[in-house]
Order: sequence, then C-alpha cells, then structure tokens
Amino acid sequence: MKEKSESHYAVLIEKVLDQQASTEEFRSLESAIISRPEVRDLYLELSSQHTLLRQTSGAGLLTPLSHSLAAPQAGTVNENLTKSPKHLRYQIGMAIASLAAVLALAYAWITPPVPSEDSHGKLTKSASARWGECTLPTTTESFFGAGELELLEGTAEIILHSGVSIQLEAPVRFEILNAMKTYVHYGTAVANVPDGAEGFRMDTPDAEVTDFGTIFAVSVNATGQSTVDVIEGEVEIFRPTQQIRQRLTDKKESWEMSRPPTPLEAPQHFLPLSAGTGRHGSVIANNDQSHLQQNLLLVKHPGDTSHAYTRKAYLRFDLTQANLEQCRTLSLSLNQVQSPYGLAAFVTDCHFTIHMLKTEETWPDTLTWQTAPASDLNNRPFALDRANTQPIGTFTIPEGQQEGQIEVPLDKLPMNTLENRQSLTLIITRDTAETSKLGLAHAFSNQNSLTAQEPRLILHKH
Amino acid sequence: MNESESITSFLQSLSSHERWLAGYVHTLIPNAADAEDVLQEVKLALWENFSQFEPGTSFAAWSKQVAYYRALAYRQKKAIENKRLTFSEECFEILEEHYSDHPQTISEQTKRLSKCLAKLPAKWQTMIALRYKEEFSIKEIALRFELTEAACYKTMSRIRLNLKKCLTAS
Repeated sequence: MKEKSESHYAVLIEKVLDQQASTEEFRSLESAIISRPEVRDLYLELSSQHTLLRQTSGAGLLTPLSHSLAAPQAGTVNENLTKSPKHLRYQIGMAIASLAAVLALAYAWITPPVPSEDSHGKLTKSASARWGECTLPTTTESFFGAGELELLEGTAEIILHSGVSIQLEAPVRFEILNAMKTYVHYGTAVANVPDGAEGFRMDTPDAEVTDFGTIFAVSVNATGQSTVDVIEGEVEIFRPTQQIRQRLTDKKESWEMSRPPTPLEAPQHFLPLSAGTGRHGSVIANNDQSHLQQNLLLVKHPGDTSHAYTRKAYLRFDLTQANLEQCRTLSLSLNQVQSPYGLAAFVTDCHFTIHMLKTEETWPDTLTWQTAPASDLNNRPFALDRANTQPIGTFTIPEGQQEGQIEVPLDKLPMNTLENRQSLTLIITRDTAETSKLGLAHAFSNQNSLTAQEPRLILHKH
Repeated sequence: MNESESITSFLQSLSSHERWLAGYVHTLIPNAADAEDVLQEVKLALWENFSQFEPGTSFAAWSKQVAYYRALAYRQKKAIENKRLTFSEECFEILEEHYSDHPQTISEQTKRLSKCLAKLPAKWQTMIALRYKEEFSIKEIALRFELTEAACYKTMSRIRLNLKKCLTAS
C-alpha cells in the first residue's frame, strides 16, 4: 500500500478504535476492508496491536509518567508498579468481570488473598465509595502496605494487622504508615483500638494522637486544624509546635486544637476574589480560547520555542469590601489544582512572580493578550509594561506538585499606596521556562471553581 | 471427567487462548465496552457448553466459532437498535476469515511489542502511556500535548504504523 494511503487508513482506524469516527468515516473504512485486502490486513494488525496494548497497559514503555499525572510513583518498567489507581481499578474490574461467570462455578479454585510480609492491613468494607488519588488498592479484601487512600464519597473500613479497625468517612485523605501509625491529612477517621494495640497513633497536621485503648474520632478541617472526640476510653494529644501534652477521656468534651492567640497568629481577615467587583482572567499569547478554561487561572512560560502558549493570570480584588485600616501586611492565598494542559514531567521547580498594577486601570469586558491591563507587546515573554507594574511577591512550586494551597506573602507591596484605592489588580507570571514545550501550564482555582477555594487576600493585622 | 477435572481443563484452555480470543472479538466489535460485554458472554457460553467440546480437537477453532456467533448476534441487535456503528455481515465474514488462527503467536507478539515500545521516542511513549495506562481519550491527550484532535489522531496513527513496522521487522 502506498504510504499516503496507509496513513489515511491508519487515521481512520484510530478514530474507529477511539469510537469517534463519523458514520461516513466508519463506512469508508468498512468498504475498504471489504474491497482492499491491504486495508483489511492493516485493520487486523492495528486492531490487534490496540487490543494487546490495552491488555498489557503498554508494558515495555521506558518513559515514566512519573508524578506528572498524579499517578503512583512510576519510573520502572515493572507493569504492576506503574499502574495508576484508575487503571488498577479497571484491571481488577475487568479481571473480576472476566472471570466471574466462570470462577463462580469453580469456587474451590479461588484462594483468599495472602498478605505479603510488608503489608500493614487490608481494606475490609466500602459502601458507595468513590475513590480519589490513592497509592493503595481500593478493592475490598486487598492487603496493602504503607500508602495513602483518598475517599471522595461513601465510607470504608480498614483493619490493620495490629487489630485496629478504622472507619473512613468521605471526604477524607488517610495515610497508613504502619500497623500502629497512621495520619489524617484531612477529613474524618474513627479508630477502634482493641486491647493489645495501645499506643496506636493517628496523627494530624497539628497533633499527635496516641491511643490508650479506645474508640476515638479524629477530624481535620481544610486548614489543617484537628478535632478529637473520644467515644470510649482515653487518648493523649500532643501538639508539637507548642509542646502541649493533654489527656482526653470520654468524660471530657471533644478537644478542638484551635491555636491560642499569639502575636504571630492574630485573627486574620480575608478578602475573597468574588467579593464586590472582584474579577479574574487568564490570557494566552496566541489568544486561542480553547487553551483556556473558565474555572482556571492558567500560567505558563514555554520559553522561546513556543511563545504562542505563554499564559498569565489576572486577579482584581475589590478593596472597598475590606477594612484595611489596621492591616499591616497582605498575602495572597492560591489553590493550585490539576491542570489539563501539559505535563509536569517537563517542568522543574517553578518560580512565580506576583505583579501589582500600579494604576487602577479599567479592565475591558474580554481580556486578550493585547487588551489585558498593562500589556506591552514589545516586552517578551510576558508582555508586561514594567512602568505600570511592580513585582510584590514571589513563590515556588516544587517539581511534580500539581495540587495544594499556597500562601504568598506580598512583602514588597507598599501598603500606603492602597489607602485611596478601590481595587488591586495582581498579575501572576511564571519565571521558570519549561524544559520542553510539552511542559505543564500551572493551574489555580478561581471563583468559578466548584471544588477548590477561590483566591483570597489575607489581611494580617500584626 | 469429573467436575473438578473439567474446571481445570476449561481454565487451562481459556487462559491460553484468552488474549487471542479478546483480540478476535475486539476486531469484530471496535467499540471496546461492547466488545468486553460480548467477550463475557462468550466465556460464559464456552463454559456452559464445555461438555460438548471434544478433547483433542482445537479449542481455538471451537471458541472462535462461539465468539463469531455471539458477535454476530450483538451486531444484529445493535443494527436493529441503530445505536452503534457496526460492521456489516459481509465485513464480519471477511475479518473472521482472515483473523489469525494461531493463538500461540500472541505471546510472541506481546514480547515483540514490548521491545518495540521501548524503542519509541520519549514523547510517543508518553502518549501511549496516557492512552493505555491512564486510559485517556485522544481528546484528552490532545489537550495535554496542546495539539488539535486531528493532529493527535495523526500522531497516534504514526506511532501505530511505526510499531507495526518494528513488529514486522523483528
């Protein structure tokens, strides 16, 4: 077959296998399969290749997906180690579906799973569970070692080899360190600790909770503050930052580890982006709107090779909605979220700058690379008019990080310039260029995001 | 043959033909989810009728025949419902006739494919990994790579042709 014709049919086959072929394309391929033996053979070969790749998950690939996709740590050729939770669930689902009909009859053949030497427990139950990013298997009765489980919906039960049973209530992110030590990143977990497992630990971002034979619940809120409820028995709570150790029993009320006021932790006030006339926007150098999303702030520095995809984000806070009188400093709270554009594997640690717009320029209805405030097209790569902007803060996102809350002190912001202002416009640029043009466009939530908090200015009064 | 021996024999036969059989059903039914459903039906039918299979004859030929009729039944059902694009009966017959009758070649092919994948450029390997490890659609891959969908289809088909060439050469 001529190369051009082969390429044409290979694209058609690709579309058919992806279930995206139009009726016309499908029929065109079908007709060629019937009338042209070389197209028939091409279809048989490519379809067979597609099925084999599905079945083997591309075993043999040397390029790691790494953390770029928030998959479990990959990087080896070992097929089992590189499977993501999503794929693992698919594979397990497929395996179960595949054999259910047959093996239901061959019950005698099914051997219960056996724990490996380094397993710490197993998932025993789950109800209406929808799992998020997990580094551990999420099928019931599967044994696991150290790792994390993120339950987005429903409930689940874990039993550790120490005998401790733990109920997880969504939404929760829970980490198993070993059979006697666990960690609640956020959400609620209830531990039932039997005799003999005293000393079991369930730590949180702000406390170490040690059991003395109890049933107790630990909840961690979005800001990392913990609440401990003892249902039965006694626990010890230790707060490392303040070196406070306290015993809590079922006779006492629950203990919320809210921090006592200190000069460093004076009450804070927030100015959310959505307050008043607050606005946001992202612009891309080629003005291609298909590379922007309404619910994301997008920032990218592709370097000289692909300037067209440079993106910067704009935030305008309505200062009339905040009381700045006693405010001494400001910081900007951002939520980094999973980006649909580019790959994290192709960016290193990335440094960002927050610029302040010196004047209160009016924003046009639609922001473009050319019309966005303080645009100077001659000033590559970010097209920022230096005379009308001023860098007021910087932050760094480590290589591989795709999610998380970031607080940026705006320590170069001259607070006196805010006195008579109605609004404050901030522009976010990334100073670090990517190592390949496939690099990640960093994404942050804005006020349209349903799952992550919008940007906020934090007003510090100390 | 008692029940236990029968189960053993069936599972051994099925496991050595499973990938080949799956490839056959997926070739006739390009819609992956539908193909998997049909494959489950085929496996169940094979078990239910295993007593009719004559030891010493070709399990491949027998299972292929069962799969063909199940796939055909699916095609007829979908044709009536008009919900899916399915190959015509004539196309089915041609694909049936020319699909390899040698299940043993599949394990060889799997090994060769693995070696060929390792030879692909890093970007192509990443695309294959997204497609088959992470189950991204072409649309999602296109977004990741800042490509148009058309360009992404073209690249994926080039990768496939490259793999085909490598498989043939090796």
